[in-house]
Amino acid sequence: MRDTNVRPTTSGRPSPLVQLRVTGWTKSRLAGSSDGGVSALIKFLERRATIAQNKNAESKGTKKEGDAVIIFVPTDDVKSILSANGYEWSGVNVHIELLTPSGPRSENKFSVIFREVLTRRYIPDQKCLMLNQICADPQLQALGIGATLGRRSKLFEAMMVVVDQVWTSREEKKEKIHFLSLQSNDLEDLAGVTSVAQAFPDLLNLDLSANKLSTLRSISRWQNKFRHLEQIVLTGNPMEQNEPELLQELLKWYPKLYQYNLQPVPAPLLEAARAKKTPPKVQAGKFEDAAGIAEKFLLNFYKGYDSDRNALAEYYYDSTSQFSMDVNTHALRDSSQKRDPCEWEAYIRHSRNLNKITNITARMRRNHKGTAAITEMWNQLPATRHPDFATEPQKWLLECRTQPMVPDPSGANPGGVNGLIITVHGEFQEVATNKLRSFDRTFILGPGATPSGIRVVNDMITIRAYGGTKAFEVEPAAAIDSEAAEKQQLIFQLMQATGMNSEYALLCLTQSNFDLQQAMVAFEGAKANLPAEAFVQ
Amino acid sequence: MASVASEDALTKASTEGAQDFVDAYYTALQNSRPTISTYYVPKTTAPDGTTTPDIIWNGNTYEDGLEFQKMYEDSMPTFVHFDVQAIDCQILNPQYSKETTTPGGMGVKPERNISFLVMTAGHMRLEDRSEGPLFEFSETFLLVPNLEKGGKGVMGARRGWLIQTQSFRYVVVHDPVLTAGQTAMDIA
Repeated sequence: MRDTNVRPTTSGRPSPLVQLRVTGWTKSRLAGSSDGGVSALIKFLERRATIAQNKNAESKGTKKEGDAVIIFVPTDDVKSILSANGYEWSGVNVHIELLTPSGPRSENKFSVIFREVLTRRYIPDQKCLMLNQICADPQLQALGIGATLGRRSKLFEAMMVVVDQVWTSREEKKEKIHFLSLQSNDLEDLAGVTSVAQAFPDLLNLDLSANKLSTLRSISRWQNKFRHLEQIVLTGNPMEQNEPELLQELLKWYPKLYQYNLQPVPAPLLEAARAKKTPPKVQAGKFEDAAGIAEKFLLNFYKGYDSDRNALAEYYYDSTSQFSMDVNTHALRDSSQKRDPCEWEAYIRHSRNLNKITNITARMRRNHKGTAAITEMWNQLPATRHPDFATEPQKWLLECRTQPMVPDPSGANPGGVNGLIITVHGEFQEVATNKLRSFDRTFILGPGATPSGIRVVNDMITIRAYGGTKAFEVEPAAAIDSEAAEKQQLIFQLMQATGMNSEYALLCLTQSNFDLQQAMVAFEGAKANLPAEAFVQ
Repeated sequence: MASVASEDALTKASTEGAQDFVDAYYTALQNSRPTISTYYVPKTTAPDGTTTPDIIWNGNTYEDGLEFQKMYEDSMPTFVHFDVQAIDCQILNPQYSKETTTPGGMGVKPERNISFLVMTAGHMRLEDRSEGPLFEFSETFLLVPNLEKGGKGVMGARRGWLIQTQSFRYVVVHDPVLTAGQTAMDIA
């Protein structure tokens, strides 16, 4: 069923083109663009493939067929483009499959036999599919396939297609096939059976014993597959000797693994692997600004940006300064905020989000260079009110570090000079709409021949939905003991259930011996008499 | 003196360099942690005492790529997923190295002889794909050309750009109680 087109090239002939069928992209975020997002999709696939194979991948043509787009690619690039199958692109998961010009008759013949083979090798009461020693299967041997390695990879690929016809949904496969054996298939790596992971994402038990797998690398392409795997068998592979930390590593790969080579995983190993890891605590911003330059700049900048952008630009920007803005329309939004229709209208046409703006001319046009261009851009953006640094410091998160090798326009220091890199996370209110937005802004400052003596070399801003200030708070350093944590949890639950603030929730729980049920009863009884201040405002 | 490339060539090199870097780097954080250190410039102290790389992660500082890699290997949950939703970049120095040849003996094309800022924004999910803690993050990198590219043996020798300065921040913490209900919708 797979034939002529997909043949590795020998000699120096240009490799023949293979057709890939790409679906699942029609509802992407780019669906509204003139070509429905097809060109951006192709670019994405080419880029992914280029990364995957570490050399340039390029499609040689495309053809739209309803909801599918057929792309023509050289044989060499097929594998890396197929590796993007299931990837998320622009908000949707794209599906890519190999399209082969097979005649219907031959396809039927193979399908029928594969179906027989699969049915024969399935043990329903054990929910088990035995694909061991596949090359020795008499029925497949009679077809003359399975003899060579290359053939075998196509055999598994083709068989998985039939798997999806026998067990038609993911749910059905999850329900009916818990155990899969790939024992004794001479596997040196998983290249030939990679389609198996896509066919059985919910597998619980995998037997890879008696193959020729030599290192962890040989099976690393399944590192992120089988998220529910509980048992694995690897006996009779050279990797058992070659990888002293094999089991430790597998425990990292498969979060639910508890049985290895038919033995329970030793408890200490399991505990060590399952101990919950916690990222470093969130600390206050690091603001290293010995000369006070950054502080003064920020005070002036936000005052100026809210009141007189033209004067601000004259004071800190010069002919080489750059400004660009991008909108992240997908950012998490604080629950107090509503999503308004067309709410990004004033910003989006200037946004330089490289994920969306792929045309080189547009990319150049949306990076504004020089005081005049920057002022012109700023004047098109809505007027703003930023919070006051002194009275509302909790609304800001500021960081400042030395940035070496900033170009020196005076030419006195050809290697560049030390400047400052400032990152600002904060919020503003639009004057016209009162709408709150959050933003992230990065400046690089260096010396310059501006009225201030300071030059903004780079100014980049990301604007997003208002996301609150909780992320800026420092995480408490000491671990809370478990009793305290439990009480805190109860307070939190009571607050959620009643709308009371933490003070009153604590009061109520204290009077109820920290029994949530009791506290709820007490609350219901007292609700009518509670003052407004007892509730979260 | 090395020459400066055209505006077109600079834009192409920086914007495409930024996207390739972002693709590779966040993938490494997710599932290639032993390679993380190869994305950083070697630890160096300038005559004035300034050290590079300069790495801050939520206010915590790290001396070099190896120390940052160790943090990821030892302290970050096995499951970490990034969804980078916005990327932008700007060139800081259009003529980074003044030498026409580099210590590695390789010439650097003028459009690649640049340092540039990359800003990213997106979701970061920990521990579990659908129910783990969820954050909005913002990250700024300053990338410089890998002048040793072409050297042999080191994995990092293949990378076109290396991180000199990095600042990562959670900027929105999703409420753990609301997470289950809202995020599926928000992420879709």
